[in-house]
Amino acid sequence: MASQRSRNATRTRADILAAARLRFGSDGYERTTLRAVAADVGVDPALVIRYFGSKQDLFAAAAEFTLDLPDLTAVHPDDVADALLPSFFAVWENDTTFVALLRAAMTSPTAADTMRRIFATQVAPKLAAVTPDHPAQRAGLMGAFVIGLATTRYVLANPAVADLGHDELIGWARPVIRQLLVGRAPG
Amino acid sequence: MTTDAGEAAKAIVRRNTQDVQGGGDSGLFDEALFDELFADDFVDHTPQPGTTPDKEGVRQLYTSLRKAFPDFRAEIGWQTVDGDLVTTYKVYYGTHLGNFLGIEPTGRAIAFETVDAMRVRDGKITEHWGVANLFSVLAQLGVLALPG
Repeated sequence: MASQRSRNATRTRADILAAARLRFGSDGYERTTLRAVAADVGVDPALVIRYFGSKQDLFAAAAEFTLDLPDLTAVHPDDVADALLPSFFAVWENDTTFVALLRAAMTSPTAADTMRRIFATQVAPKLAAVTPDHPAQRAGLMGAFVIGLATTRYVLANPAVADLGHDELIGWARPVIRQLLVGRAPG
Repeated sequence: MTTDAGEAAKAIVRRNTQDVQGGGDSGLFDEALFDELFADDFVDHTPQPGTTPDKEGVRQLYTSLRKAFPDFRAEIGWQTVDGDLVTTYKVYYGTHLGNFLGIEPTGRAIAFETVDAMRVRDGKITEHWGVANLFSVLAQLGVLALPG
């Protein structure tokens, strides 16, 4: 009995993840409900909560996040902001899943873990390829700058920053990004 | 061996721990300093799985640790010296940003304890015995569930 049940559990878990992926993809984060995901699989909503916790946790476990950052090895330090920020705008402005993940990461450990993994696998290696020293600190501080910018612009919507045009923002960011990536380390 | 010689031996080990393993001021692997501190006929009595028990094995281990944890650093708890044998208790810290033991980067912060003994002769590290709590690293990276 026990093994039958655990085999079913694995299967059910995978089915819930697949259904959630479809729902979050088609309906977006806000309009997706655990009830709808449960109905798609044909299980009780309480089971979804038992397996995944909250909607934030399910979202972080199910959603796929691809950043598609450019290769920076041939880019001049003065041009890194111009090369990187178009990906930043694409991620935060064309795809609501990242804003949802950013909000979720503040309270859901699963979402925070997803965010850390995206940073470690997709962001840090691209930046480490061009940093002269302290690769972890430089990549981490770049992450802090970008997450801070995204939070100010897309979550808190501070107009002074949210209303900046793409080119204006790139202009402000250029010397900051240059310093963080290749500028002189302190000490 | 005089106290001065013992202190000098401890300093050699401390330099390796902080400036080679810990990345020194640059956060990068200092290969020249590594070559200076380790004897060419160095023997590792407790090599990590998949590495050879010689200087090349340590070079590989240190290089791969810096790739896996680019901010890898050690805090030394204490050191003792007995003759030419230096024993060090330390805690390593790092952020998991590269492949480690086949585990894809998680971005998580890890810490693990190590006790090791190193023999220092003529200013160079010639032998090593060590125990590292890699078991707890696997738990911290989420690939191993520990009871309790």
